[in-house]
Parts: sequence; structure tokens; C-alpha cells
Amino acid sequence: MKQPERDQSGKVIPHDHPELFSDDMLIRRISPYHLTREGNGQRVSSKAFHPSSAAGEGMSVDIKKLIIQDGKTPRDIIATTGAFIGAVEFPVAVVRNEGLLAGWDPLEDNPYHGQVWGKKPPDQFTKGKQKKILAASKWTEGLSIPGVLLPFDSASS
Amino acid sequence: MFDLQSALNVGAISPVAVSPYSAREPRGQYLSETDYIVCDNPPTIPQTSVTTVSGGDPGLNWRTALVNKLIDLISLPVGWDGYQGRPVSREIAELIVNLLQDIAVPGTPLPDIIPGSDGTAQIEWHTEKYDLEIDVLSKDGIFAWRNHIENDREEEFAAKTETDLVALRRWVRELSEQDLPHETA
Repeated sequence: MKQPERDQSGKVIPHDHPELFSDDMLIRRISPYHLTREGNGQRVSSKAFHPSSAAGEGMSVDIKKLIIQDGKTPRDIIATTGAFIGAVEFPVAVVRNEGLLAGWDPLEDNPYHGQVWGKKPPDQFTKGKQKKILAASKWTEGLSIPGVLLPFDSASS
Repeated sequence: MFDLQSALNVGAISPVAVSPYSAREPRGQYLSETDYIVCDNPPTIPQTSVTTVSGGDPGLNWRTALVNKLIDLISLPVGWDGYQGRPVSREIAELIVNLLQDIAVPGTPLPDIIPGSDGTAQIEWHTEKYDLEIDVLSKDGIFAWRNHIENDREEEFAAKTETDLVALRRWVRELSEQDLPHETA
């Protein structure tokens, strides 16, 4: 993929990457701290999809096709981060349907790192948009958190 | 006046004496100083603890669990979210304590506090009748959202004025008017 443009400090400029297609999947890591109680079980909170409030910072994701192209699996990349982390994934189309940007932001320790930005960060990455992304998310294979259903699972059952 | 900031700085707090909560604290004031002291070996309260409080208010276990949870969240390591997430800021933790002290009523279930990657946090409850989320972004950035489960009707507003807080108190009161097997305030 084409390298993203950077500002003078080296930070990636928020962009909508043309080589991220609608059906490409973005992965969002889910910590146990993102879980909230519901009845006798747990669910993923919408807060898991809250962006950073720092200027230029969006919501971190991992770009699934870049992982696959490198001959790896998401579990290879994510399961080795230390504390137990699950992960969900959702299509780029969901992000763009909400008027958000999906881009590539490779880091030294994570070349698959991407970001989802609001067009006028952070105000445009609203609670409603976060919930839409959550609603469209499925567990990434091998990285589900046992006993935790997603809205997508509930809707499908 | 109880110095929550000191408590958050030093460590967890543990109840020494149970003081009956006979009247609601005026808004903007902290809990009585005699309720708590700082201790070096904080009790570990599981995230999903549902201890029942007997005797109604003050909900000492409720408040203790809340503060211990916040201490846990302000102590999170950078990267706790698998990326570069920051711990919840002390300012946000204090805002949450103050806000809940203002809006919680007898019978309010212990909420979950969910950290954001940017140091903010969200208060939330999910009951049979309501989903209620209060996103605490800053002193002037508190956003409330509620869903009525029965008819899937959503409401939301930014809590900026006293009128907004009155509405938020009403939401919490309505949520609390249920028979739930949760730890209550």
C-alpha cells in the first residue's frame, strides 16, 4: 500500500486510504477493561471504540489484509501483546458509511496499525458512530472473549 | 472535607468506621472524613463483585468498590488496551466520584466504569429496562445516553447545566426503581 503522508513532526496526516476497500476488515483489540455487565453476563462497551482526544489521533485498529499478506494471522500479532486481549473486526464500509476516515498509520512496532478518524476530530466520532461500529463487529477468529456476546451475535441468533 | 485526591494519590481506601448515611451529602461536598482512612494494603474487589449492602445507605461497600475501581483505572499501564491507551486521569476519576455522589440514589446499582484510550471513562449500567451510559470526557464534557429496552427508544444530551443534571438524576432514579440483585448505593 502507498505510504501515507506525514506532517513535519512525522505524524501521519488523517486520511482515507484509497487502497483500503469497502470489504477490507479492520481489527479493534478488546481488553477485559472494555467489558461491562449485562444481566448475568458481559458485553463489550461502546467505549471500546472511543478515539483518542489528542490532536490527529483517531481510534487505533489493525489492518487485517496487511497481516494476512505478511503470512501471519491476527492471533499471531495480537495474542503476544502481554495481557489477555481479544479482538473484533468490522468492514471499512461501516466506517465510511458513518462519514469517518480509514487510514494506514504504520508504527515501528506495528506495521499493520491503522486509524479511524472523524473528519473533524474528535467531535465527529460521536457516540452513535461508535455504537454503529460495535453493532457491525464480529469476533476475530481465535480472539473471542469467552462468554461475551456481541450485538452482531445477538442479532444473528 | 475528605480529600479524594490524596486518597487516589496514595492508594486504595478502606472503611474504618461505618457511619450511617442519614442524609444525602450536599452536592459538591465529599464524604465524611471519618468514613475512610488510607491503607497500604488495599482490599481486592473483583470487577464483578455483587456484595449486598444491608442497612440501606450509606452504601459504604458501594462507594469503596467504586473508589477501588477508579484507583485500578488510574493505575493502568500505558498500552493497557493493546495499543497506546493511557490510564484514566485523576481529574476524570474525581469527576466521576463527584457526579455519582450527586446523581446516585438509594437502590442505584453499582455501575461499571469503562476506561477510554484517551484517559477518559464512561459510567454505565445495563438493566432489564434501561441501558444508561454517561461518558465523562472533561468537566464540561459529560454526555448522557439512554436506551429504553422495551421499545428501543434512545435519548441523549450533553449535561452542561443544572437543568441537565436534574434530568440525569431522574434517569438514574428511574433506572434504580427496579428489583435487581446488584450491590446498591
